[in-house]
Amino acid sequence: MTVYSFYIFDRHAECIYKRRWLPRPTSVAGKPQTQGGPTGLGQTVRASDDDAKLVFGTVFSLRNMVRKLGGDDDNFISYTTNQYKLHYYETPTNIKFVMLTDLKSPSMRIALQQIYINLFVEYVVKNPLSPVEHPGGVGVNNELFEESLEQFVTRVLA
Amino acid sequence: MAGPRIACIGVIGKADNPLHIALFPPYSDAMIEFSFLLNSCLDIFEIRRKQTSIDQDLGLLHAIDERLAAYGWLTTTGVKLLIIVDLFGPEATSARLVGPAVSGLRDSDLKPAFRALQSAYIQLLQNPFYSPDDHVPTPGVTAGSASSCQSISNSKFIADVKRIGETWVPGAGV
Amino acid sequence: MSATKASRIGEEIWKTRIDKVNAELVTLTYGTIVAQLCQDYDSNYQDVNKQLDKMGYNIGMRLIEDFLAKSGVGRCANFRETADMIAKVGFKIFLNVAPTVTNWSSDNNQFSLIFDENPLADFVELPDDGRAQDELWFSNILCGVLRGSLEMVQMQIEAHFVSDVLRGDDTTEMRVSLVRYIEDEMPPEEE
Repeated sequence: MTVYSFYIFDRHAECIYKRRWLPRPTSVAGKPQTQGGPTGLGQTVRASDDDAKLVFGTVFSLRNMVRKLGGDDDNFISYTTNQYKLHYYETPTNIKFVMLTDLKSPSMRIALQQIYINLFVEYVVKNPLSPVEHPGGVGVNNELFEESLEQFVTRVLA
Repeated sequence: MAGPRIACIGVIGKADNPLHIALFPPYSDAMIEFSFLLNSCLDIFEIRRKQTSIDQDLGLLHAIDERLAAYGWLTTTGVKLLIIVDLFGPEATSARLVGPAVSGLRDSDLKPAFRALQSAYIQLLQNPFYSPDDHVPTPGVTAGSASSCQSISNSKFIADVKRIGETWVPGAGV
Repeated sequence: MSATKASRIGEEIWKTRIDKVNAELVTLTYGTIVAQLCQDYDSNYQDVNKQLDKMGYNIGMRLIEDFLAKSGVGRCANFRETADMIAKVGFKIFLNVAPTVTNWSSDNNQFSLIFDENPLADFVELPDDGRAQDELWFSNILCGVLRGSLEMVQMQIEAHFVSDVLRGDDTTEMRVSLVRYIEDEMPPEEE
């Protein structure tokens, strides 16, 4: 399986961490030669910033919809398109972990939970030098966290 | 009620500064005399300290007269605990002395009292609001000036010392 | 989740997943901090209380993540469940005590925690200056911890001590009130 990208959103709906391992599939990224301007299809090429916002909007709406239909304890776990699979894990403190993988991937819910427990809490939350909140990703982008995430994704999940 | 009793307990700081002195009947008013006695014992501490492999319990330091005897305990941190024992006890008046003191008082009889004193002192130190620095004389200031180092004013510690002094009897716990 | 189940979870985590540290070290460290604050604020105990609460708040905001990571528990269904979770799991795994939850208000929005033992306050005697006994809440950091951690799980609360054995009271009691549940934040609107 392949991991495409990974996002963390904090309780203020801000993307505090994003990471991409492979270029986006062409259907998502638009055609490479059309970068920087509107395409013939009227589609605007998005910067990766916009990706994060889109992802957040999607998971936020889906999670709210799921709770409306399935009750407050219901959780949205993943969705699949023709091109990719989106996995979602949210902590009770409203930190949202999102991972995009290829279609062959099994459920990543446990993996996301592991990232939260073993990497995020250990290396970001417990780092006394990192701020409590992470506007703009401050404190999350530390070497220990990024290295371990890299290892986790490339060795454990691969 | 006859028999050896504690006459005086002295807690002396590292720099030979008195931290707390408690007196027990019938010596309750003899502060000057006992300060002098305690002071003289400090020299013995100095001598014993130079000997190698010394135990915390220094045992009998000095038999002052047939009635009073000083025992000492030196903690590793240099705090000196002193107990002066009245071998006759408060009941005996000098008028009807019962011969020589019971010489059967062993050094080990004082151990429980010293241990209790030491743990009272440790408890005092564990209170975060007790500041040991207030009780260390400032270098350069003569020992006579009272402001530089105070004695211990903690009421629980004083009560503990009082209790130890009043309840100790040879061969029993405190 | 019932209180007994919460106790069981707390016990289990305490036994298996918690790194232990010498209790005296914790007690003396905390005591030193409070004593130093009293000195720094010139024995203005109101300010010391406030500062302790603030420190606790900052701890709580982080500690809750560790709590969730270690316990793996989900969201509580109501405030009563939250109270049991705090008392039987939270206090259990971080301080190895389990205060009693009691004195519920009729609207179920306020309760008291009664501490039979308080590891932070071992050995402590409040300063004998005639004011500390009436003004200083020695363990006030705990109020801040609860406030910080519950805010992170969308509950705004107010917590304060109402009695403390250090002051000569019979019990050590903390009052906790739910102010409101915090709504999810929305991303900022953009063009």
